[in-house]
This record gives sequence, C-alpha cells and structure tokens, in this order.
Amino acid sequence: MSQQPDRIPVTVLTGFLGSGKTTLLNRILTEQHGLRIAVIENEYGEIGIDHDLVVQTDEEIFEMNNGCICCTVRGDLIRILGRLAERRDKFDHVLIETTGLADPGPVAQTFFAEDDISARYRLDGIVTLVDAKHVLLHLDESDECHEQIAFADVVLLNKTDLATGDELSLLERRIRNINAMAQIHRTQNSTIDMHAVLGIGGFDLKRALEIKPTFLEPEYPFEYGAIYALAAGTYTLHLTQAGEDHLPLLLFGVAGADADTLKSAVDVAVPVFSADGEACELGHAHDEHVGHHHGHDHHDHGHDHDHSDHDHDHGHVHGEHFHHAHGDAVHAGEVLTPELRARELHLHGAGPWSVQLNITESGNYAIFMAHHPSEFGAQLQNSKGQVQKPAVQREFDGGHSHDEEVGSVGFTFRGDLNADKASAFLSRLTQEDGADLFRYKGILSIAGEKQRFVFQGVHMLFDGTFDRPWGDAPRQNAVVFIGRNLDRDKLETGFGECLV
Amino acid sequence: MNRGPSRSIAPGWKHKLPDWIREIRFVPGEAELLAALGNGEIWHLDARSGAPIGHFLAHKMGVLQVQWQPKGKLLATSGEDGCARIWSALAADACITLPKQRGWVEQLAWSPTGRALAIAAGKKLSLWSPTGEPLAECTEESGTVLALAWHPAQDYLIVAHAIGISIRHPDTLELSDIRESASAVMSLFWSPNGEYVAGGCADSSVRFWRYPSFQDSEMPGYPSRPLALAWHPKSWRLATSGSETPILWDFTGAGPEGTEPDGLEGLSGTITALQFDFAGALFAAASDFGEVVIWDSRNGQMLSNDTRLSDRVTGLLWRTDSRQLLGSSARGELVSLRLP
Repeated sequence: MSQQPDRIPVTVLTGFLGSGKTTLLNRILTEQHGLRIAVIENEYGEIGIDHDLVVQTDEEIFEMNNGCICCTVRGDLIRILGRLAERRDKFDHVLIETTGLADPGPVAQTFFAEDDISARYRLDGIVTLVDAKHVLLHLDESDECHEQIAFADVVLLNKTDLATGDELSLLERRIRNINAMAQIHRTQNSTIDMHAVLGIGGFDLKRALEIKPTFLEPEYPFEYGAIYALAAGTYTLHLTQAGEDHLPLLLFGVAGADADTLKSAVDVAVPVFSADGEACELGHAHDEHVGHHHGHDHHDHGHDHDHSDHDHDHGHVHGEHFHHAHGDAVHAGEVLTPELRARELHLHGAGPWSVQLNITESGNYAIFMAHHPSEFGAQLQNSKGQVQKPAVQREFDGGHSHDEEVGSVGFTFRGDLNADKASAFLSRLTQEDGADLFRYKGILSIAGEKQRFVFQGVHMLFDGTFDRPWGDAPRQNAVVFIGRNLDRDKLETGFGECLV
Repeated sequence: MNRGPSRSIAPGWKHKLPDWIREIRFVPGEAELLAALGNGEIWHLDARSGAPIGHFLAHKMGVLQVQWQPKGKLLATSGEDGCARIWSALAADACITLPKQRGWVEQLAWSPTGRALAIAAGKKLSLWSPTGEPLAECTEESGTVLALAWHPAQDYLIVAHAIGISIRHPDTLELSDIRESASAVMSLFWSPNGEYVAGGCADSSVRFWRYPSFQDSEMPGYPSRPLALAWHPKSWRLATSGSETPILWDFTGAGPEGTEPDGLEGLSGTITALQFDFAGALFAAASDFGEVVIWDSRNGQMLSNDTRLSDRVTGLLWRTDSRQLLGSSARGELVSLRLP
C-alpha cells in the first residue's frame, strides 16, 4: 500500500437527463482553470464543442467474476484510461460523464478493481447533478436516482430558480438523509466555482460534520423537536402540504423552555416514540426500533404493510419503521391534547389540514415530529391565527425519512487499531455486506504507524494507503458508510473489536 | 521447459522516438519499418540500421491501429481523432480519409484478400473498399466492438463484444449468429488454418471457438487478462499472456481440452507482447518491465533473456526470415535484435 502521488485525478459526472450535466461539462471545458481536461463522454452525450480530448464511448459493463453483481467495472474506461495514460504529459485531469440512468457503481469500482487503472488514476470525486424541479419524482420512483446521490461527493442542486425555497429545503434534507457526506451546492444553469467540482480530494471528516452536524449522532425516531411556551387556550396545528400522508408526533408538558430541557425531553420522547412503547436507551439501542435492521428482510420492500388502516401504497416503506403510532390515529379536524402518547396525524384528501390543540394549563410544551415541519408546511397558530414561535427547537437525524433503504452512518472513535484485525474486519464486512455498501471512506489510526491510514471503497472493493503523518493532530478514527440497510451497531462494534 | 539461456543475442540497434509506440510494422519488402505513436505521428525507419527516413502526422491525436493491406501496398490507420485513413505512400498527403466517426476508431482489419477494410468505432461497424467507398455498415447491438478478426478464408468477420462474439457476413455484415460467453471478449485471433478463433476475456480467461460450429471452450484462471495471444504459424500451439509465464496450449490432434499446457519461464513482469517467428521455431515474449526473452519453441529452451527496455514493451515483430526481432516500448524505444 504505497503512496502514489502522481496519479491522475478523475471526476465522475452523474445525473439524470436534463439535470444540466452537459452545461456543466461545457463550463468545465471553457473556464480558465488552467487544467487540461480529458473528457470521456457517453454515447448519448451532446457536448458539441471542439475539444481535443473528448472521447465518446459506450458504457460497457464488464463482470469481474461470474455472477457477482457487485464486481462490475466499465470495460470502456479500462481501455480508454489505459490509452490516455500513455499521453500523461498532455492532460491534468479526466472527467467522465455517465448516462442519466447509469448505476455509478461500475465506474467507481473500475478505480478499485483494476490494478492498471488504480496505479495511474485516482477517483477525485463523484459529482451528481440534481434537477431541483423534477428530482422528487425520480427520488420516489428510481433506485438509480438514490444511488447517484448515495455515491456523490458533491451534489449540485441545479435549476434552483425553478423551485421554491421550501422545495429546496425539503430536497436538501432528503439528499442529506441519503448521503450525509456529500457537499450540496445550490446552482442555477450549472454555474459553480470549479474548485467545488474539480480537485475535491479525499475524505474530509470535518467537512462532513460541517455539512450535517447530526451526522455522527445516533439516529432518532423523530426529525424535529421544539418547546413552545403556551398560554392556556386553543391552538391549531395547521398543515398546508402532505410530505407524507401521516405524521407521527408527540406533545407533552415540560418544566422549562431552554436547550437543556429539550435535551431532557428527548430522553423522555425516544422510548415513547419507539416501537411498542418499550423503553430504550439513547444511543444505539434504539436503532433496533427505528433503524434499518429490525428483523425482516429489507431487500424486500415490495411486501404489504398490513399494519395500518389506510393505504400505504405511496412508494415508501415508511410505515414499517413506526409501529408505535398506528393505533393512535388523529385525523384532521380532531383534537389533540398533551400526553405521553405518540400520535399519528392522518392527512387524507386535499389539504390544508388542521388539528386542534387544547392547552388547559399555561406552560411549556415539547413537541416532537417524525418529519421536519417544513415538509408539511406545519405551523402552530393561536386562536387568532397568529403563528407561534418555539422557544427552542432542533433537528434530529431521523435516519429514515423518505429514503429508508439508503442512508449514511458515520462515527469517530479514539484508540489505535490492530492492523490485522482492522483489515480482517473490513474484508469480512465488504464480503458480507458489500452489495449494500455504495461508498465508504475513513481515516484509521493503526497501532505502531506514524501515518494516517486512509481507505475508501465501493461495494466489495476497497483500497487503503498510509498518507500523511498524524504529527501533532490527535489520533482519531473516523469512518463514513453510505449504503442500504446500514447497521450502525454492527459497524461500531466491528471497529471497536479491532482496537488494541 | 525451464532452462537457462544458451546464448546471448546482442541488440543490433536502438533508436528513441518522441512518444509511446503503439504499433510497429515492416514496410512490405522488410527493408523499412514504421512505428505509430501515441502523439499521432508515424515514423518511417531503415530496418537494418534504425536510421529515421521521415515522419508525418497521421492523426490529430494518437494512432490506435496500423495495418498493411494483405498482398497490397496500402496502409490503413485509425486514430483517436475519430478518423480512419488509407495511405498509398508514407507521406502526410498521400491518404484518403474515411468519414469521421463518433469516437475513437479502435478497431481496424483488412480482409484476407485486401479487398475490404473493416473499421469500428464504438458499436458502429463499417466496411470500406481500398479506395474509400462504403460497402456495408451495421451497429453491433451487443455492445462496443472490442476486436475484429476475419476468417482466413474470408468466410466470416468475427466481432468481439461485451457478451461474446458475433459472426457476421463478410460482404454485408449481416449477423449470422451470436455466441454468448460469460465475459466480455477483448481480443480475437484466428488460427492460421482457420479452425479456431481464440479470444482474451475480461474475466481473465481465454476462450476459443471451433470453426464452423463455433462451439466454445474456456481456459480460465489466469492471474490477469490474457489479451495478448499468438498462434503458431502452423496452428499447432496457442501462446497466451495473462501472467509472467507464457502458456503454450497444444492444438494438434483433438485440441487442448484435457491437456497440460507448457509454461515458459524467464520473465518477471506481466506479458505485454508475444510472437512466434514465421517458421514457428522461435518464440518471443516481452513484459511490462521491459524484458524481452526468446525461446526455442520446440523444446522450451531459453535462447536470450538479456534484452531490457526501460519501460513496458508495447510490441514485438519478427522479420520473415527470423533473423531480426524488433521490440518497441512505452517510452518510444525501438530495439532490434539480430539472430544468427
């Protein structure tokens, strides 16, 4: 595992048809960034500019091993990158455009599976363009769309001029629920600083934390919590749009209206919100109730949800994660009172909808919602129609949201790892769960080594190398996994067992 | 078959060209040779001294394929500029350019009689007369054309792609049959007797198909992709790459099934080129470490192993009389070995 500093950086551009890939490609090729870029364009590309180093190609998927769908690579890239490497002095960067429907796996795996390629090239980043106006349709219907987002290092939320602020916020949340690692940029007409898409470099945990502060926290059974100071009276929870057709929530009285009280309220809310009302510890145990691994086959998302009194046929598997609320339905127009009991608002028919809150005693009231209120246009109004502002509020990593099957798990931990154990664990993990692991990256502190060990992988294939010395920086391990049905417990325990 | 070198074969001459050498070919008559480079140039050299005679830009970007018309004097070239050209002389203006293709023209193959030139860019396959008239074209629906090989008697044109091989009519390119394989076929070589076509595959196997049934057999388990293959001139053996040891399969009698192949040791790098001489008595192989080794193909005795280029060997070329072996490298080196 030697350092190969001279490898040629490669950027992969993905995104559905019409998301603005060609516009971005043209910008990259015409902007004065000083880089000579070779472009490998798919056969349907419409780049149409005169550029010496544009190579048009089909996207040939080769299987590495018989029958293993994870071990697919791009045959055209193997040949073309091999040839391009023969012209090393003539370009500085390679950009690969993929078709809108392409699974990014094979292209990413080419850089890990092919020795000739990985010796000469490094995957600098995967940039996914998202059409802000139309992506929601794809997100609900297309596995490829999830995967293109899941694989991304950078997501360009393009055509933002065609979407409202609320739509963009919702979209960003959905994207981050799929991929907590990616940097998201809002763009119009694919206009973006080239430094945001070229020369992204390796894994940056700090950046991941900046993107999503809740990233390293455990998952919660809700996405939003707030405390309102309310005078006695009647209030209305007003909802203008149906992000889902049901919204699990919990409303109960608390002693204060500050951050500490909210934190304490979380401890109260988690077990109530969780399945069967059983108590569970904050941290990882509650994953068993709200995470992705509660005892049935998540590959089979097509099964019937026979636990609800309404039709769940809306393209999600939401219901299976929230067993608790199905017996406590509240329909629009009904009355809600503060109590330690999870409820579920059912939003049938055309909106807007409203639910009445009866507050018999002035005081502070905590409310937790399974989804962010912005997804429902939810507002708490008093009897005069005045919007009530919360005294304190915060978001939580629901870890489920709309895209339950694809998500991110990241964590840091201290201590040195035994190199053999860590290697064996990663090998076992990727062999067993590789099909569900889209991308993963990490920095490890290996016992007896002065340098950081950095690794990244795609499905079953991963590559690691020692990079710069730790120096004065505190030695700390940090890993990120993006994939389907991720098991935080298993990952944390597995790495924990590798500690010396 | 592992013995030390019996004699040293000294380099005749060395010459350095300005870029990666993609292909080397003798000019008909073998007094001169040409080298096609990654920068798009074709160099023309004296074969006995290595002295350059001239050079010209054949393609705006790299040259990908170079092939002389069988029994003729036309040179066909293809390049990364999306062009295929037919040259009547080794001079910049002595060519006709076929209509520009969408993407690199990665494949090019004259028919055995030289009356048609097949080219492929992506999935598009087309056939041209020596004067540049279009004869036929088709799209290979099974995927990008990865290799082309004409049957020696010109009965068929075989097209390699991601799911196997297509067998196409030599005049119309009409599809006769598809033989699927478990892996992409990335190179193709007909045995000189026309009884087998062998291919190096993406799953690190060699597959071959018997003519005319096109029934296939597989030789799996190579450490890397065995894309370079070479047939003995009498079709007795198939030499395969895919590791640091050339593997020679016996194709006499009923074929190689159930037989143990011979391995020739002497290289330490992965094989990048291998060739039998025209008599079938000598066999040369070269590696990505720049090594060039020659064996007696009849008994496996190593004859020479002291030739070393500074980078990956990109091609080997025997003179018809077996008195000269040429090697080219990724750094533009051309070396000539003189054999007694």
